[in-house]
Amino acid sequence: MEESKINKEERQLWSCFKKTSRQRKTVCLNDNSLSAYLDGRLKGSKGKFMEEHLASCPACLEKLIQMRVLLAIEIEEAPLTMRQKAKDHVSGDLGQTNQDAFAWWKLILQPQKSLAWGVVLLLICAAGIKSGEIMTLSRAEVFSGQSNNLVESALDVLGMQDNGII
Amino acid sequence: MSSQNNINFRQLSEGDKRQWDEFVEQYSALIYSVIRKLLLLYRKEVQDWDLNEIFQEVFVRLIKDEYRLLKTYDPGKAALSTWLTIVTRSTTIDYLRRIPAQHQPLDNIEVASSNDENEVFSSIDLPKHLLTSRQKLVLELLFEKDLDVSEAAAVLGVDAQTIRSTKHKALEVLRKYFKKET
Repeated sequence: MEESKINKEERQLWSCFKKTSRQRKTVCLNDNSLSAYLDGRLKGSKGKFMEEHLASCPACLEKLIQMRVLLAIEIEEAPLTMRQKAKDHVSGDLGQTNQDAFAWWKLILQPQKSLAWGVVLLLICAAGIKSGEIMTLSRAEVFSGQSNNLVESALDVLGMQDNGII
Repeated sequence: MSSQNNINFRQLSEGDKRQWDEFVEQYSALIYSVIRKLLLLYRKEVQDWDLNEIFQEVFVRLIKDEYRLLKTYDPGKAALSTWLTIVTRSTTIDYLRRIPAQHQPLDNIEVASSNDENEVFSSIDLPKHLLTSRQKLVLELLFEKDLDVSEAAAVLGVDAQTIRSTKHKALEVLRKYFKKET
């Protein structure tokens, strides 16, 4: 169609338009706004604002164009092994992510658990330092809430009570 | 109710394992296909290792720091598939910039940054409101991006006739303006 083609005069007009413009820094819009625009849900002033930005931001315009292509591609299933690995990023026990590098903080922030684990570590260290004996504690003992007895046991092994340190 | 295709989004972002597995099942095909397409586009080939790495990285990025990214998604604004496509694109581009292909110097990879802020400048700042934002956008697509009318229509989600008439009106405004100026 004739109107679809760009002629020389039109390109010159555009060129004049570009030359007389000056550069202005703009702020890019977030992914939620772009998603909304792509889904046709950005109406009124928000839609205008988005188009204003797109007209002046080559990177976002490029992103929009590429997004239209990506949203129209043929979908093919991901291999089972990849899907399973992705599922494993969230553990089944606590519903927590396996990617949280600071997950151990949660344990510390839980007083009962942290005390119990602290006592266990103390006992293991004490046993190793004192005599090399391997202390065997059942999980039931550790988690039974008898933390005071366990602390005393640990101090005893360290010899702190006998030496009058405490 | 913040749910999409049987996914309870609130439970999902609170760490519900069952919802997570369902989410992975429902959206892995989309994420996988988008990565494949982008690898073909930028690397001209698909290496399974890259594909797998990026695929896992997308999911990790969503749940990192207590599901921080996933929680930014607003179900009221857009479809989850659209939003996930953007996230997948950003993750893939970050990966491609970070890990160049073998035998390919980083400088040769023409990948736009997914962090678009600060480096962007407007090229249009004529008298305010000379052209509407839609008119500027249409001309930008046609003249700068060299899209044809149907392609521009697809990008903006409008019909081709709208593009033609918008272009026509915009050029009329420019003709009048520059004629007056000269």
